[in-house]
Amino acid sequence: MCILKFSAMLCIAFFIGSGIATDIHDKVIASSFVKQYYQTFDENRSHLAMLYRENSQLHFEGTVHTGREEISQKLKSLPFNKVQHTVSTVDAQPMITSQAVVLAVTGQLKADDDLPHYFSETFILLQENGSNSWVISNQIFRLYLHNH
Amino acid sequence: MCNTKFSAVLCMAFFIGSGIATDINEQAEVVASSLVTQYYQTFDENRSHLAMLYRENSQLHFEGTVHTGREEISQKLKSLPFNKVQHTVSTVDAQPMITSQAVVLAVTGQLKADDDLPHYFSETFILLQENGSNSWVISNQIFRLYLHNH
Repeated sequence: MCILKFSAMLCIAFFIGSGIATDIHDKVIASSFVKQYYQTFDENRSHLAMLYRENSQLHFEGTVHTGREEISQKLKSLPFNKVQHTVSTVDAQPMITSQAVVLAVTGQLKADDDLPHYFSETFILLQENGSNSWVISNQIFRLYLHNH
Repeated sequence: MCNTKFSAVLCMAFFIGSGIATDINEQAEVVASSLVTQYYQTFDENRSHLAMLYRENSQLHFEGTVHTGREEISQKLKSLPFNKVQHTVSTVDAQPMITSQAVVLAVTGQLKADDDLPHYFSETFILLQENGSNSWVISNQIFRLYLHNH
């Protein structure tokens, strides 16, 4: 599971993140996750596929995509060559009713030669049954454009 | 529960919302859009009336500070240092959560407080349906303002 370079980094981040004390548990998970997610996205977003499962849902600028295949396809088909996410804030909270973490990210995104735009992204991370790895159960992405 | 004016409007929105949609995704959208309309209207008119939406375990992140439970959250919202405030919502995206009877929703828009310039904001809510009833409460909430020094 931790074979490829990028997925190895993600794996390591998740395993380290999952092992630490419960008080800062979610903060550590969240910040490891966010760092690796956007680094992978910016370098080679096809490597994000492993984070999604059959029931994962992604809202991307209003369109909905369900499951690893569709989500990978959507991310791969985004029409830019270069992209850079700059994260400003990450806020994380555990969910009481399930072994899940909700996290909200704000920052800026620059694609190709466009001007940077603010973005907002929400993730729900779930811990896979009996393992230390976290997957993305829900994800919502929005860009702030001047005509919003 | 539906006594005061604002909570009556909120109640009706929720009950109507819960009764109509058949599909889980549709239901999430209906619940989300009812909540968002009523939440920001109530916030902008009289935010002390939001208290009823929170429970003992509710958590609010407000610009980086954490508040847990109805008392603390109400206190935080009441103590926000503006007289007038207006939220203008641009987008609302909602998804059902598979593992629990919950809805996650993400809102973007602009916020104008007193005579300040408007700023973009981002707000995430997790809504839970209360046991055996049709009413939805806020379990998790995260608010961020986009300021130019971010």
